[in-house]
Amino acid sequence: MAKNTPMPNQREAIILSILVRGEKYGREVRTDYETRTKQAMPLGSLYVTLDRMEEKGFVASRMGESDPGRGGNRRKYFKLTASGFASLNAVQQMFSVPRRGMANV
Amino acid sequence: MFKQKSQKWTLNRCKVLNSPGRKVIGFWASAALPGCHEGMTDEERLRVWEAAIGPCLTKKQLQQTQIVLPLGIPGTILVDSNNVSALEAVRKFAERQCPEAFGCYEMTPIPSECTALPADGMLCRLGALIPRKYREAIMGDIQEDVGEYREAGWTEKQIRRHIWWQFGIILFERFKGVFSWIAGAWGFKKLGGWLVKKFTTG
Repeated sequence: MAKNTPMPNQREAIILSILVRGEKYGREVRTDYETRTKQAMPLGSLYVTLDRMEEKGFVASRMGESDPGRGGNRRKYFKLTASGFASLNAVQQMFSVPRRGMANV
Repeated sequence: MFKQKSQKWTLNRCKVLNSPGRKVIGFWASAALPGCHEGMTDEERLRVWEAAIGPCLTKKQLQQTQIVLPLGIPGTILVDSNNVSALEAVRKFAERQCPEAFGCYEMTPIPSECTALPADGMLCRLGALIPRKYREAIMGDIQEDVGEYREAGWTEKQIRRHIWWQFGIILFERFKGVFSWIAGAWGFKKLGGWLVKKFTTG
């Protein structure tokens, strides 16, 4: 594990694992999150979290095309950065060590 | 959606939004569509619309017209329900200024779906409360939600509740710093009171 890899919190880690599968916009992330956790994720909380993750360098965003179905508003797409990948790996390693240990019990 | 050929707007048949001090009707034109005011800021779009609509109206009509571009969905304007000339002015402007996009212009209310209006109007107004950096993304996502829920047969009341819930969370997220400050100040006062009591009377 790299020494300076920032650790995501639980919610951030779930979002990182969702974004591993590719670039997604807010609603897609929310749907995946709710499917996985069986918990509601209001858009306000989601975007605040994504914004924080962007500040930490876990994700990068870009604006998509405007769409009449969205009242002319553009989608904001998020994708994982190298730092995001590293953090996710760090989290997975952290959890896999005790799991391996438990398997030998 | 209104097609370019069906020019007759029957907006007066539509449900009117409640707005403080005036009756307004929702209408939006996606001025953010590619090739039409793309890259403009909300303020620039507002000025464009004002310049287009202003000369076509009397002073009184202009006073009754509420242009709320910077507050909501980009390209959204709310105009007086009886102000046909304002609506006509907008339509002509859109046709002249951006004919390639006009066919895609979303005109709300659509007569057959007039009941859909209140939630959209509410959404438009509440948009001002969302922090600017993700306003467009959130507004669009909620708009998609609304469209999907309407297709699924949700009532307006249910949709409005959904919107309120989303905005409640957004507001909480926005002002939670203030809440925690208040809680902190209250806790500090309590602690101070306890210390004073403990060490001055005890």
